[in-house]
Amino acid sequence: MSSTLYSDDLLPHLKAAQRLTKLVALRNSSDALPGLSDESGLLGDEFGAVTQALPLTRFASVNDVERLANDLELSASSGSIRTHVEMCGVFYELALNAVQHSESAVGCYAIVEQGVDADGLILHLLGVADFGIGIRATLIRNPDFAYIDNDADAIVMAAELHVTGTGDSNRGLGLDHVMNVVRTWQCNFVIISGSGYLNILNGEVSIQGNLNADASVSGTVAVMTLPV
Amino acid sequence: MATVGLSAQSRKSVLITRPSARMMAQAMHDAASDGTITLDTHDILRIGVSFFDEALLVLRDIIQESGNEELRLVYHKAPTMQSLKNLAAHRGFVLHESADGDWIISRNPDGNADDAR
Repeated sequence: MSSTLYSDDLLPHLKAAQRLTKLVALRNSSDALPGLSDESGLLGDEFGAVTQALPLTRFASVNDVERLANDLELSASSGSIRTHVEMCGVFYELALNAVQHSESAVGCYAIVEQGVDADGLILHLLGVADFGIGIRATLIRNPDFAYIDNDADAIVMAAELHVTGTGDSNRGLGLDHVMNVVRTWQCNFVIISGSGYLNILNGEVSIQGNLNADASVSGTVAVMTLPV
Repeated sequence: MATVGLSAQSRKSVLITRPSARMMAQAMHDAASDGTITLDTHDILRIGVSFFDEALLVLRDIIQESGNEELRLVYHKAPTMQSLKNLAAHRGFVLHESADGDWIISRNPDGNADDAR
């Protein structure tokens, strides 16, 4: 377990996850936020040619996720946007998790982007934020996991196969699948839930820990980047 | 060979949820009598993780109810997420990909569900 991180100390993908929550706040506020605009996205200034396959979009139900998926796949098949098939699979799982488990009162938000860095590396990015009850609150509904007393441990536990708050032993597969994709494709992946975080670097190195109150988020936010 | 048209059965173009797979259960049962259930993905833009996994659970149920351990599930025009192959192994099935790109799934005689990967 690493020491508590403050906002200024965050690694790039943790910053991107926080940036997503700020973009949502910007969307829902009449106030401007320094350095942010709704079109600025998550990839940041180091990617000069950022395109948004899915601009920041609110969704609140399984039907909404299916509609987003349909639109994304139609746009990809027509060639109007470029996506990565495995990343889309991860996106649908994270979005379904958000609407099925987060109990968000304000809805969930997603963004899908693609950028090219200075070395010509194509980077696919997705972000999902739910503003709900958080992973720990979901997991401890299952008496088997009632002992989990912090957000970071809850995130790591939720990534294990068949760990679920539903109590159905056939479930709890989605996040394990996401982790398999992250490892196979050497992705960068971060989940922040409440004050805990898990950050996978290049599909290999796993860092977990706690965030200071200034860096904590409401609910759960996940950001994945997949290099091609 | 009985075929289940996923697009016609679901009236959807993306199949990403477990309930969508459960909607196919009766048609899969009906198609199982000759030993192969073929799922036609024509007009389906994407098969997602949850749908694919739930369809495997439907297949498992049909095998248990029928006692036909040789029953096969074939995705005609297979979904293209290679990571889905891991799920088949996880559920105790083996998955072969034909030269035409069909995915042929059958019970792994050497492995039990949930311990095969």
